Amino acid sequence: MGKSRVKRAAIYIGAIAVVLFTLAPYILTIFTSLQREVDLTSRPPFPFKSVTFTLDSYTYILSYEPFSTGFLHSAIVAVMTTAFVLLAGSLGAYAIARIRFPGRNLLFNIIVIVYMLPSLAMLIPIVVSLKILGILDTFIGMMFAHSIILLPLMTWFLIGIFASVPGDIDEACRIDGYSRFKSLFKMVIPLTKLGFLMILVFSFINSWNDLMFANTVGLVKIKLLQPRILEFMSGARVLYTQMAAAGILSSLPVVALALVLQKQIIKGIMRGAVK
Amino acid sequence: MGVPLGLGIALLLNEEFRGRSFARACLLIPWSTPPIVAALIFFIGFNPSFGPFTYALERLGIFPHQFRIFGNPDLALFGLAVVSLWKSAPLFAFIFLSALQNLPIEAVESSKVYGASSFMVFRKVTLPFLKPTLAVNCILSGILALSGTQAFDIIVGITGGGPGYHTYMLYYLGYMTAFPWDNLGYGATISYIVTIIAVVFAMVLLRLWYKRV
Repeated sequence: MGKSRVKRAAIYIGAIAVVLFTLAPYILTIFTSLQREVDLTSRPPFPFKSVTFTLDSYTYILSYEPFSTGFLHSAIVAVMTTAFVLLAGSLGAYAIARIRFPGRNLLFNIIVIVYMLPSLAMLIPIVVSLKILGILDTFIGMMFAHSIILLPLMTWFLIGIFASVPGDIDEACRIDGYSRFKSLFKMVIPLTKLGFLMILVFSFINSWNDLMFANTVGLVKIKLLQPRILEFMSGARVLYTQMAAAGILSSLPVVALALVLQKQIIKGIMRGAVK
Repeated sequence: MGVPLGLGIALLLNEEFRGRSFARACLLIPWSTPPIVAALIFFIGFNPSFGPFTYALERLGIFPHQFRIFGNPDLALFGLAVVSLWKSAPLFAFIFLSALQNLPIEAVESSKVYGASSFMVFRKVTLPFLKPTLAVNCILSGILALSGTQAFDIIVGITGGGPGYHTYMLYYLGYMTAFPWDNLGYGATISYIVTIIAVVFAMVLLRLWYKRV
């Protein structure tokens, strides 16, 4: 019995270490954002002395125009990208998982290889071709840029997810007179809700978090949120509390999304939706 | 670096204990935080004069007074690695956890019946079982480091390639050459070099993938 007690204690200590490792940096930043600049920049730092908390930096950030525009634009692009990836990805994945056609394996391998390509290699061609098409610096262009990066991986996941549904179910639907589309949207997707939700969350988070494309595809008209954070960090005079507040606010949608859907996400990951 | 840490976290969170789901939920925070915000968090935390991390490490006698980790040519890369560790270890932990779910319990039980210590069980049963996942994770971390935008975001945010050119990684160099310096052709060349390396990694990964299924 003694030994298992020691083991329990070790597990708890380890668990506390993990929680600290993941949470402490984030929580410290929340505290930073709540301090006054004077308190923050004097030594010793916060956890080692008492300070007065204020919401000043949040009121500043919320009324700071580039930030709110960025927030809005990021939200629009992330929603558009997610919708497009889900639609195109599920159609493509359904075709590869269910319909036998020549070149199916080749297509699958191409999808995997494209996913492996570094996004830097895609960046220059994407920017050049969006420019030729005349949709550089538009919402559509930004959506395409994000979708090009996300689609291969998401289609790959969706193929695995759809393949887990027995083919007989489709057969039955087809016999009952459903079209392919109808059997995909009425049967297969509802059956794989969990995996589908994972793809949704993944696409949204990745699109929201992107910096590189936001900086190159969006120039004047489309200003996404993450580049604004970068501007805060590399400005001539760095305002730490406001920077921290901006960081917290800009990560809020995705972190909140992850935490609200934590049960589904963890269950989805555990089922091997992400391999 | 992220891989062993992820494995450790996964082994720990695979045990039954109260608050396990809370600890698992905590892992989602670094995973979902935008990389640039992760950069920001550590940019403040390791600020030489008032960063809480720097101060704590100073107190513990690890850092000299007002140490600049990101301004030090030898240690800047190490500092960036810490940030990327925080961001990526949870992902690896999740991948290991999902593999551990399928660990045959009978094998563990029976080896315990034969008197194997937990360490022996780990070495002889768990580790061989995890080997394919381990390999996939290693390659994945290689891809992330080489071609993920995550490393890029962190560099841009914290050091901007500095001090001097000490943290100019291939990827960042390619981006800088192509865009702010307006040398699209040269940037494209660098991106092809990165691509070739990535394709080699990708082929190894594909090989492993097909072996596993």
